[in-house]
Amino acid sequence: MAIFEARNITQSYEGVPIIEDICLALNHGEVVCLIGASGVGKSTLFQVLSGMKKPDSGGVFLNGEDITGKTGMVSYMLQKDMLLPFMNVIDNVALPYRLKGFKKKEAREKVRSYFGQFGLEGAQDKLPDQLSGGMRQRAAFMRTYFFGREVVLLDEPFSALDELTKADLYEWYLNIGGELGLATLFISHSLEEAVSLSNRVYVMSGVPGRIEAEVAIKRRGSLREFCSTSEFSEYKNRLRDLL
Amino acid sequence: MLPSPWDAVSAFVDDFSILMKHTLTTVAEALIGLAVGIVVGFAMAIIMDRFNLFYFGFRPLLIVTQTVPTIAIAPLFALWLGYGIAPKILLVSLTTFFPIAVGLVDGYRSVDSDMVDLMRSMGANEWKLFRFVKFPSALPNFFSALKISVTYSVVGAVISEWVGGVNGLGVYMIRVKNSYSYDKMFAAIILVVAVSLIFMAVVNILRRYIVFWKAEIK
Repeated sequence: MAIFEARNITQSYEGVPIIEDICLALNHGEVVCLIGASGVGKSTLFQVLSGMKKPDSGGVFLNGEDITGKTGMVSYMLQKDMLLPFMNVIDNVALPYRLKGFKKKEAREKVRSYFGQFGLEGAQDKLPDQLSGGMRQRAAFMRTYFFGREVVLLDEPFSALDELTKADLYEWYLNIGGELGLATLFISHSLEEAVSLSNRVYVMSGVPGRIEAEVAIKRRGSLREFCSTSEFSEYKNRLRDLL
Repeated sequence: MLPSPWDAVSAFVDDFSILMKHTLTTVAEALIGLAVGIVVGFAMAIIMDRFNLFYFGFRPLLIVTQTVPTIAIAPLFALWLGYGIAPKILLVSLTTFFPIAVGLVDGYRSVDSDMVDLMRSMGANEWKLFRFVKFPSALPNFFSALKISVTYSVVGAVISEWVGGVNGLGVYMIRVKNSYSYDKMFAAIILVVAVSLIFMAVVNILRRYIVFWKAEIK
């Protein structure tokens, strides 16, 4: 059974329909990508899924419970890392605990032991401006993880990074996502990224935006090996055709 | 008529103890008025940020308060409140709260809307959004505004003393002017400038420690 579901979501803005009749599901430990042209309504859909917007019709369900319009039920990360420049890395990462009412010291203690796992050992006391792009993104992932939700929504999480850093982070995310048992739904404009990371890909198109296709990706071997196979190119071509 | 710089320095040395006594009064008025201005500025900024109605309704009124000449309303305050410290504090507060309120509200409103969305998605309420994001984000604006306000505070206190008072550098200036002691007048002017510069230096030091993440534009 899917742990996270969107059922028949329709949303309009000032009377103009943006997305229509969107249905999607996310299973435990799965990485699912949402691709589509700019303006098709992907970010609007994410705002509905994260509870920031209430849809005109339809509902969002987490483990069968209706969470439509409720914030704080799923973890959400935006395209920009959104680290606060005036807080050191440990305080940025511990922010979800501060918002839950923990004292600064307690919040720090809760996150401190995870820094090695997220590849941020030694970065605890640095300011975000002192980190590289990849490290900033890792810190943002870490903060997202401490929302403490099993469902993670990522809005173009790798788009601001250079190619080498992206390749490293893809592998890292697949490993850590698997270790932590996260169910991830992410938006991407990159077909390569969609095929590299996902178990399934939803393709959105049209005005208003609808989910027009769903493609299952069977990845074999390591990510590096998979990227150099003909299957990888076939998946990319298929998605390109669907777009 | 115009004293030489040496005359002014000499007058400063001769009248040092009297000047210090008056300076203390002016500094006290400036600091208390500034403190009131900061509190009022903070309160107004929060209300204006929270409620659009106040933002669009208050902003023009705030601008009007700043177009009224200080020198014209100082005598009115003296008439209403007497020759004590109250009219001085009121005038200083009136001139200092505006930069603070405008600086802070602009800081609050310039927070990235994506950051606000992210905080809300984490379940942050208005207070937590203010405490963890908006207030710290507005601190650079606050210190820029404070730099303007501290200079206004000293000038405001002196102007207020001109129209009536017992102590203070403004009172001292009027007295020495009436006795044609322009060397002493210049000594007082230098002192007003020095006090303003010291206030600004203190603000710069505080800014360096509090807004540590943002280098100051030189």
